[in-house]
Amino acid sequence: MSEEGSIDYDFDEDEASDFSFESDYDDQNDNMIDTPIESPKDKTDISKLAKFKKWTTKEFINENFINAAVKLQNLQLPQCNLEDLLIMLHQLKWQSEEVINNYYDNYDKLMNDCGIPKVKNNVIKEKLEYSCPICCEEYDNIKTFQLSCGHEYCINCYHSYLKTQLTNGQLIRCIDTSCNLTIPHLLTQEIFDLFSQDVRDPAQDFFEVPTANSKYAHNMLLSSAARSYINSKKSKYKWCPAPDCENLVELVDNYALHLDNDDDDFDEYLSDEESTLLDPSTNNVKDKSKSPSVDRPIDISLTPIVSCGTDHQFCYNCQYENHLPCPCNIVRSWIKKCKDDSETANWIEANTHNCPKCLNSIEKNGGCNHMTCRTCNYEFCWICFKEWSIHGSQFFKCNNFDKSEKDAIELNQKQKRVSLQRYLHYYKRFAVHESSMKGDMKALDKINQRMESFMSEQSKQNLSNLSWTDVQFLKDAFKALTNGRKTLKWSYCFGFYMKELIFAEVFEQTQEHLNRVVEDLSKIVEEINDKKNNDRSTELIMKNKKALISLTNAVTKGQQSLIQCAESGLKEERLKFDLSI
Amino acid sequence: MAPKSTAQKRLLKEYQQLCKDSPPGIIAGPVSEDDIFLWECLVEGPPDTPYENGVFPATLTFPKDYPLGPPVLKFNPPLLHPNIYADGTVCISILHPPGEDPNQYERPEERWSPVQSVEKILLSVMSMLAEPNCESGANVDACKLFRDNRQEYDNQIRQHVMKSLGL
Repeated sequence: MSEEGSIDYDFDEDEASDFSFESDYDDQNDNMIDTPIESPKDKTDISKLAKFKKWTTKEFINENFINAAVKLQNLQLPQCNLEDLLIMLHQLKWQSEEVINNYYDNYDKLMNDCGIPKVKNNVIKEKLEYSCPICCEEYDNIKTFQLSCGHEYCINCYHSYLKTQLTNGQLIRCIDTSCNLTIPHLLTQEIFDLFSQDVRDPAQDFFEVPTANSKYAHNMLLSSAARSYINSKKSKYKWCPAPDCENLVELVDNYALHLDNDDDDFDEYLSDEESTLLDPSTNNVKDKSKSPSVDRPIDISLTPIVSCGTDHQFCYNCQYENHLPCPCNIVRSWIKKCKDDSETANWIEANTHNCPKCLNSIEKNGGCNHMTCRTCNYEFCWICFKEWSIHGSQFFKCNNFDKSEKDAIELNQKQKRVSLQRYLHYYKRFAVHESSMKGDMKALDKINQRMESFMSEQSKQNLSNLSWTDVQFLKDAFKALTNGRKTLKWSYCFGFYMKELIFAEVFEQTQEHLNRVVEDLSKIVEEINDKKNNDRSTELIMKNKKALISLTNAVTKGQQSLIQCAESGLKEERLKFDLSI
Repeated sequence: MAPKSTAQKRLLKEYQQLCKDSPPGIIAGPVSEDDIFLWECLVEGPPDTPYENGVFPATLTFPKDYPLGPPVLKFNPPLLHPNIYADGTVCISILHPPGEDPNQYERPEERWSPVQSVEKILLSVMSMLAEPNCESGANVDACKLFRDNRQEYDNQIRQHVMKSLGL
């Protein structure tokens, strides 16, 4: 991570319409990241627009929820205990100032809203012979739970109740609706733990010094609260879109000021920024009247690609995987194209005719021109689409033949066919790389497992002088492979929308090169993973080490140069998009 | 007989309770013994309202996870009322499943919870008949009529009552 590269946007206090750019050197937070596309130093370092911060959900809860409560307890409200402070924060949407203000201004109301009683007596009891009024079971021996209000129900009912309440991320109150008391965070978890199957590994907790944070470490209510909190601030926080990834990225700094509403604003902001930045003559005044659709060079280095904590790169704007070299608007249009069935419709248009009566689609795959519609039994002529009866009994004497009309239809069909083929050409390649990427992931898992068992075997027998750093190259290879494929995949989307200019050939050559090295790398990986070579896989890995490393570098390089090619091409307007396709 | 689920046990218990000691103006019970999840009930129109003297039949359909989720109450035939959809389904806060109130305008004591019961639902419905809530109306036409032309609203309901009594 480079420190000098990050740029902050700051509104000048005096002239609100002016932007001033200043570098930020006091980067205290070590998980701050910049847009990871490295741009050479001599270029305008504007390419790094915003600053992002990565979080795991756990870190987020620790920092924003638990530490906020601990801080309140240490500084402003030492008379309160942590449990109550968490409830107050939760009730007031995690705003510490609100808690302090309400605490001093309106103590009784705050306590009432939060459902914190003066005297606490929350108990989980073991009971013999209990009849629960909710589930109407007669128990011989059951745990029951009650808050200080004394509304006692069996633990099974409480557990199902908690589960249904957990989804909305708010404080959970006593089951009895006339009772406002809140079930504290720790207690909810205690009840969940009574029912949970997996016992937490004690070894895992062994090294953790029991602190406030570790006590709340696996709290499901806090996780659900975090989820709803984050979802309610969509412009500031974005979840990593990778499957099963629970990390998120926060947009830090005043950049966020412009992003209060939705993505379109973000877009507009981006493009407005670009225009002011790229053209020094525009006096740096934001001209709202200027239509955002004005034709101007696209700078894909401004695409806010971020990385979550675990190496998933995604575009903060689209909340979609890293789609470079495509700019966001192209991606959107591509996804839409692939999603809706417009191409199916195109195929039907290009290869079929509608029955003139019932409008059913008919594909003629041979035979004469006397057609009979399967659905409505209408008989017509395939050439002129008029009723067959007017043709008399003689075949191929279509009196109503109109050449110009026919030509127009055929031309239209031909165009449609070409456009369909063009789409299929690009889509096929796009899809192939996508599915190969999934295959690569699986292969990675397998090889990783095998390497792990191999390494542990080696260390057990004290045979090897290999260390983990020696096999790091394998991981790198896979990272490069998947990233290379991703870039390739999106380059076909890029290609689909690209106008046929001379520079396009350069782009295609670069693309071809990347394609080649990616396939070479993939081939070696496949060979290693082949079942036939099961016994010698480790041997194969070591044998191919050199090739793997050099191909890894080649792929990374190829990927970078493809993106750079697209970037400079677009900037200098030697590459252009045609969105009307 | 197959062992009973929690929902079945609870519904039987509520049925027993209602038979023993049902509040005035309310009769409710399962349609048949085969399906305890479908109830039929009769609600009396509260006095001093246009619904007075009417007896309104309705069905209660319970979810399999009752009492975690609330039942659906549907007047059959439908009843003209701001909080009853045109198909007869009743829309009041006590019948909303948990976690479906993003605006938080419903008070917690009015919402569904496993401690509510058929009896409480039907009592709420009676008070709903007496005091329509136009702010979160289910039937916009009825809302309008109630707000702008109370006389016509009352008239239409009285006619409905007469018709339902066969007069």
